[in-house]
Parts: sequence; C-alpha cells; structure tokens
Amino acid sequence: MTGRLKLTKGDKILVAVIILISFASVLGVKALSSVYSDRYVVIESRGEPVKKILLGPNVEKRIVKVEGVLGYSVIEIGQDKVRMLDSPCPDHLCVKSGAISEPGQIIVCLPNQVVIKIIGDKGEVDASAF
Amino acid sequence: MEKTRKLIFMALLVSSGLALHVIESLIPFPIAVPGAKLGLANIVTLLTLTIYGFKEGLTVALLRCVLATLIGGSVSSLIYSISGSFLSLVLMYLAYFYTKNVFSLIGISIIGAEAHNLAQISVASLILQNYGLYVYLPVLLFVGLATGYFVGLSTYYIKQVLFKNLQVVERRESG
Repeated sequence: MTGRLKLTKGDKILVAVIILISFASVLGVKALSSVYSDRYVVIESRGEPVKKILLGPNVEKRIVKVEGVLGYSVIEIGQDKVRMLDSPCPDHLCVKSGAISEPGQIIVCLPNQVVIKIIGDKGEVDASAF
Repeated sequence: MEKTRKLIFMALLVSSGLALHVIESLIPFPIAVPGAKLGLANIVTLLTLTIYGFKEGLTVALLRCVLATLIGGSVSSLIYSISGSFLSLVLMYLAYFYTKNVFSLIGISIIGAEAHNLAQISVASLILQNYGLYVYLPVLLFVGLATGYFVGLSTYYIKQVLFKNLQVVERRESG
C-alpha cells in the first residue's frame, strides 16, 4: 500500500449520490419554505372562511368589511398587521384587543361571530439555538 | 507484552485525537453553519478502526469525546459529539469490514463524516423540538464531502508512515 490513493468506483458513486441528495434537499427546502414563508390573514364569519388575504410589509393598507350575525365588522389590514376597526357588537372586545401580526394569533368577536386569524410560517430556524 | 503494547498505542491514539480536536477549534472555519467543522479527530477514529477494529475504535472515540468536553465544551455538545461519533463509527465499520474493496479509505471517511452530520442534526432537532434545523442538512452534506475526502487522504498517508516506521500491527489488506 504505497503511492497515491485511488478512488474506487464505489467512492465515485457515493460522492455522486451525496451531491444528488444535497441538491435535491436544497430544492425540497426551497419548495417548503416558499409554502410557509408567507403569512395570510384568514377571516371567518359564522364558522366559514370568507376571505384570505396575503400579509406582508409591502402590502397596502386597506379596509375590509365582513358581514357577521349582527352586522358588518370593519377590519383594517395594514402593513404587517391586522386589527378590528369597528364592530356592531356591544362589548367591543375585539376592537380593544388591538392588532395582531404573527402566525397563530387570533382576534375573536363572539357576538358577531367573526374570527380573524393569521396562518403561515411554522416557526423560524434559529441558528443561535445550537 | 502484546496487550501492553496495544494499550499504550491506544492511549497515544486517544491523546493525539484530543490534540487534533483542540487544534481544530483554533482553526477558523469559513462556513458559518452550526455543526460544520473539519472533523480532524475523525482521522484518529478511522485509524483505530482500520488498525484494530470496532471495539477499540469505539473506546477511542468515546474517550476522546468525554475528554474533549472536559477541556472545553458543554454537556449538550457532549451529547451531539457522542451521538455523531457513534453513528459514524458504526457506519464506517460496516463499510470497511462488510463491503470488501467497494470503498477506499476516502469513501469510508466520507460515509463517516456524513453520518456524523446526520446524527448530530437529528439529535439537535430532537432536543430543541425544532425540525426546521434540517434546513442545514444540504450544506452540511456538501461540507462533509470535502472534509471527508481530506480526512480519508490524511488517514491513508498516516497509515503508510505508521506501517513503515513502527510496524505496530500486522499488515491488513485495505484499499
């Protein structure tokens, strides 16, 4: 066993397979993150989803009216956050609960049966956690 | 006599692995991905495995992990490195002793490096309960290819020198 070490056929196949796997998983990760990186505002009325709107820093501010049991709920979708502007409900708890912006957060107006929630990204990767 | 000789040689392997581990931590690594490293200590593990066998390789690898943690490391890094070393040793053992001449030392070393990465990232995502860590896997696989090649080549040349100068063990046929 003197002289230079030569790569065997098995080595070359192994290297090719690993390169293939890593490229495939790069594409897989890309596909997954493009599904989850966006946040959406989902507005439900009487248990049924009625509107799904993209949420992001570049989205223009707009006002959406959704009909509930008592009347129209006025919802403001602004840059990166959503809030209930006005509601026909007596207690106005939904208006007082303020703006939401992160996936998983929710605004509920029980009397008018309107729910606003944000869906999207499943938790980010945190390099500092290592 | 033979037993003492082996004991001393294994102790030397553990200590040189430890030294490589420390030296490695002094070398800045350009790729800032958690878990990516040169894996110089794998040279010693591979050397022990190919010269003595599985049991001795496991002893040297585990001793090195524990001692390296005492020198500079945390308990979580011990868990990562032990799981990585264990899986990589098992796979390298299977590749070396059960597939005759399919892989050279370079191929075996690449298998070890990739297994180390895989085990480490799996344990990390189990501990942190965050499977998003697998995002790093493609990068780690690529890095492991390069470092595995380097480690395999180094092991090959070190083994040549050892056999020529020390005649520590009977020659064993290897690729």
